[in-house]
Amino acid sequence: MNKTTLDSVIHAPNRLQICALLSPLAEAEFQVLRDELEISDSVLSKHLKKLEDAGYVKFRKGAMNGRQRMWATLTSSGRKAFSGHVKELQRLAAVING
Amino acid sequence: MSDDTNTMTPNEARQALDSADTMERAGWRRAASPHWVGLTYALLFAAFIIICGIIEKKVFTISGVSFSSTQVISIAFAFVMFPYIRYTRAKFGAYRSDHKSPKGRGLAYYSVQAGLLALLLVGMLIGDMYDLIWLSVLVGILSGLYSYLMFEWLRLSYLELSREGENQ
Repeated sequence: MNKTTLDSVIHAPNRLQICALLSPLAEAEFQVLRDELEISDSVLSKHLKKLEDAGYVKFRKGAMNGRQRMWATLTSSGRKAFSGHVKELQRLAAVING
Repeated sequence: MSDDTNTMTPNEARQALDSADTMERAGWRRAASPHWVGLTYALLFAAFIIICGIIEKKVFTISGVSFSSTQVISIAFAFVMFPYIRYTRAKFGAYRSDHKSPKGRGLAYYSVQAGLLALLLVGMLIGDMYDLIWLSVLVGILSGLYSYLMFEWLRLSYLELSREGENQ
């Protein structure tokens, strides 16, 4: 076991995946996140809420074909936190090879 | 995986990195729109330049404000192009912006506008000087081709990033 400085919000596997999926994108729709992560709407909403509360994700509502759609964006602080978290994971993983 | 952020084994860290990597590649894959999106952008773009070049030059006056036929077409083009871009983004549910800062986006937007305007002016000037309709058509086709190649280059680079490290 190693002492870490991992981000407690991003640490949960689903939230790490959400941040990773959003990282190369400007915006992604709720449905896209749900399909890629293969989780239910309620579970995804719960994780997005935690990321939003931490200021890592923000939302925009948009309509298409009369249906409301929600778009998620990784904020600059979210990008910074995700990048820091990945660096820390890389440091920990390097122990295997080192 | 342990929920405790204070302790983590190297194997758990490796697993977390792998799952993040898989999702990041999925993000790149989602950012790459299909061929036809670039093709339709290019066709609209080429049509806009060709129409501007070959249309009869007239001045319209609406509520005391004068508009040239080129300005009317430019406004009509903006009314078609921007909702179409919004529609394609909404259709695929994800998109990438290579300029995340508002400053970068603004700069890219005005650079494209300036390039478009320069192309138009050169096309119209040569068209007026030599009265060559085919020149406007040629400029339109070349501009359409250029925008399609740019789109395709971006699309392929996103797809390449989505495949990076796939077999590791």
